[in-house]
Amino acid sequence: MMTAQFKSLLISSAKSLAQAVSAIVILTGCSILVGWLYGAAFGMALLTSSNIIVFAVLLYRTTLWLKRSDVERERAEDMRCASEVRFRLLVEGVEDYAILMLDPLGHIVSWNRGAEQIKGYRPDEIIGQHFSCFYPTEDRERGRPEQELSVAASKGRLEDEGWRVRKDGSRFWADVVITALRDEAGCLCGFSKVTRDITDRKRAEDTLRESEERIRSVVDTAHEAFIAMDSEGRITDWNHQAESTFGWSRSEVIGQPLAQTIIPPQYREAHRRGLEHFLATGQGPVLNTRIEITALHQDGHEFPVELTIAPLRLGRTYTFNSFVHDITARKQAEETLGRQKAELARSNAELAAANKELEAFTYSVSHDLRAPLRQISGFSQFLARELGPRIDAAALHHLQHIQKGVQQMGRLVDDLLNLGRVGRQALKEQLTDLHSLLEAVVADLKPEAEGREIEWIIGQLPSAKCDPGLIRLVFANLLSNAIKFTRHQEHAIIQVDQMTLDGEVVFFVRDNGVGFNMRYVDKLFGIFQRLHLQEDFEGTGVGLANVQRIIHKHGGRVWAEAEPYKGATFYFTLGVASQSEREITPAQRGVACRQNQ
Amino acid sequence: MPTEPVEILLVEDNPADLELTLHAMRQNHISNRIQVARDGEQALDYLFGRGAYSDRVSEYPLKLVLLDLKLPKVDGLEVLRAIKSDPRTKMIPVVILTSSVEEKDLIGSYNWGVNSYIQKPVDFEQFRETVKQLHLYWLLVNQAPSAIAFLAGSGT
Repeated sequence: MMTAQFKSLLISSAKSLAQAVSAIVILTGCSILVGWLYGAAFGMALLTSSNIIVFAVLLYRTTLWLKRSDVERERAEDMRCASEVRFRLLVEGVEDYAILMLDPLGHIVSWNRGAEQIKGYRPDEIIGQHFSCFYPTEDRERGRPEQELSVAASKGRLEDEGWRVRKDGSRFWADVVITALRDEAGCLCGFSKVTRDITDRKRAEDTLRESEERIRSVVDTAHEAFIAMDSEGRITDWNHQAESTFGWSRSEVIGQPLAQTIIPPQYREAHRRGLEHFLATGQGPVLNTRIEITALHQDGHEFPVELTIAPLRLGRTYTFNSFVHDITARKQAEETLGRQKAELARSNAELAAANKELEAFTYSVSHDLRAPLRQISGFSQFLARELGPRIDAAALHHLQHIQKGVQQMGRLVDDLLNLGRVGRQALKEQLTDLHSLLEAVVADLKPEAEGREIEWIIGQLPSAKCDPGLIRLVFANLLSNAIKFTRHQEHAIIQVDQMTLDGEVVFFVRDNGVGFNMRYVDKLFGIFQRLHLQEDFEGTGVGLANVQRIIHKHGGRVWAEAEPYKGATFYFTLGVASQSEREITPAQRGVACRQNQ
Repeated sequence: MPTEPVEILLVEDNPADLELTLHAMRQNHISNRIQVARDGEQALDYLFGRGAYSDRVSEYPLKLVLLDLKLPKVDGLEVLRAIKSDPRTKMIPVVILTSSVEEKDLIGSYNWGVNSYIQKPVDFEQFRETVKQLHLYWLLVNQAPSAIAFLAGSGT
C-alpha cells in the first residue's frame, strides 16, 4: 500500500511540472500585453485599425490556447491517476514477490501483500522500520544492509542472493533486487526492493549439486578409468584413473575423438562402424557386457583392458559411459600361471618317469642283488665243505665273515625294499582297533623275546583311522627295538600306551634299555643311521626311517626321548585327519592293564 | 634205451643259481629226474613238445615245475599262463621260485593259478632247507592225480 506521503510526492511532482508549463505560457502572454501597453502609451498615433485587429486576434488566440492547455492538463492528470492506481493495485496484489519501497536511509515506506506473505510482517508492524531487520544477525553486524544500499545508490541497481530472516526468525534463501529511485534532479529519493523466496529452488539446486559432486567424487576416486563419449565419438568425461591408465590428462582429451586417443589404429574402423550401427539400429553387441580388448596408451604402447560400455539416451542423442580396467597385471599373472602349470605338468611327468625308473630299480634290486648274494653264500659254504678238515682257523674265520656280510647285505636289501614299498604305497586308511593290532604284534615278537624276562605294560589303546598294515609295521619296529635294546637288562620293562598332549592323542613305546645320548637324536630317524655298534646291537639303520616315513604319511609326528643306560621313549601321533575320527572314551583312557611275559 | 621219466622241470636262467639249486637237491638226495630249461621259450618247447623237443613223448606227466620269474625271451608269468591255460598242462603243480616278492608278481602269479610262491632265501643254508621242504611236500606229501586220470583230465 502506498503511503500518502509517497503519493503526494508523485502528484506534486506532476503538478509542479504542469504549473511550470502554465507559468511559462502566462508570462509569454503578459509580456506581449505589456509591450502593447507601452506602445499605446508612447505612440497612440501608431495605433491603427489593423493593429487593433491583430491584437484582438492574438488576445483571442492566447485565451483559447490557455483554455485548451488547461483541459489537456486535467486530462493528463486524470490518466496519470488511473495508471497510478492500476500500478498500485498491481504491486499490492503481487503475492510471489515482496515489493517494497525504502527511503534513502533504508526505512520501509511501502509493503505489498507478497512482502507480508514472504516475511510475515503486517504493514503496520513494519512500515517505518529499517530494512536491516530482514538480514541475519551476522550480515547485520558486518553492515551488509548498508553496503547494499550504497552499492544500489552508486550503481543504480543491486542484485543479491542470500539468507534472509522472517518475522518468526526462520530463514529463507532470497533473490533480491534493489533499485535506486531518483527524482528529475537526480536526487536519491529512495529505493525499490523486490525480494523472492527461492529456498525451494536453492534446495533443489543444492541437492542436485551435491548429487553431482557425489557422482563426480565416485567417478574420480574409482579405481577403474571412467570415460564418457557422445554420439559424435568425442570424449565428454575422463576421470583421474583414466588419466593414469591412458597417460592423457582430462584437459587434453575432453572434446577429442575417442578413436584417435585410446583405440589402436587397427580397431578404429571397427569402432566407427560399431558406433554408426548403434546410432542407426540401437543395437550394439559390445554394449552392456564385459569385454576384453587392446587399448592404446598416450606413449604409444598397447595394453589389454577389460571394459563395459553402457549407452544412455539423452533426448535425441546418446552418451556412452564406459568403465575401463587395465588388466596387464592379470594377463601377465595368467601367463605366468599358464607357464607354471606347464612347468608343473612337465615336472610331474618327470617325477612320474623317475618314480617308474625307481620302481624298476627296486625291482631289479630285489631280484638281481639277491641272486649274487645267495651265490656268495652258497659257494663259500661249498668251499668250506670241500676244504673239509684241511681248513685252517684263519680261513674258517674269513669264510664266516663272508657269511655274515652276505646275511647283513640280505637284510639291508630287504629293509630297503620295504622302505621303498612304504614310500610308494598309497595309504589304505580304515578305522582300526589299535589295541588288538598291538596285541597281535606282541604275539608275533614272542620268539624274539624268548628266554628273556620282560614285563609288558600295555595300556588300553583306542580305535583310530589309519593304515593297519603300516601301523602294524610301526609297532613291530618300535617293539622289536625295545626288545633288542633291553637285551642286557635282567628285568626288562616295555610299556606301550597313549596320552593326551595339548588335546592331541600321543602313542608311546617306553623301555628301560640302553637308551642313547640325546645329542644324536637328530640322526635317529635318518636312513642307515645307527647309534650303536653292529657287534653290540645288530641292525640296518632302516627301521626307524621307515617308522618316520609311515607316520609322516599319516600326517603325524614322531620323536624320541632317551638317556644313556636309562631307557628310551618313542612317541608318535597319527595326524589331524585321523584325530577327529578317533574314538576314545574316558573310561578307555583310564584303563591300563599289566601283562607279564 | 628206456629212460626214467622226467618228474621235475626246473626253469632257471642264472648258471650259478642253477648250480646252487641242483647242488641243494643233490644234498637233499632228491633223486627224481630233473629237466632244466634256461629260458621261457625252452620251457614252453619242452612242455608242449615243440622245437627241439618235438619228438618228446609224454606218457608220464611232470610232477612239478619250478619256475623263475625273470627269464630271457619269455618271462616266467607268461610261461605260467601258458601252462595254466592249456588243458594238457593245467594240472601240473607250478611253484614260483624267485628272488622277487613284489606285490605285482605275487598277484600276477596267483591270478594265473600258481600252486605256490617261494622267495629264494639269500642264505644258502636256508635255501637248501627250502628246497628240501619243497621236494618233500610236492613230491611226497602232496597227492597228484594218476597218469591215467591226468590224461583223461587233459582230454587227450
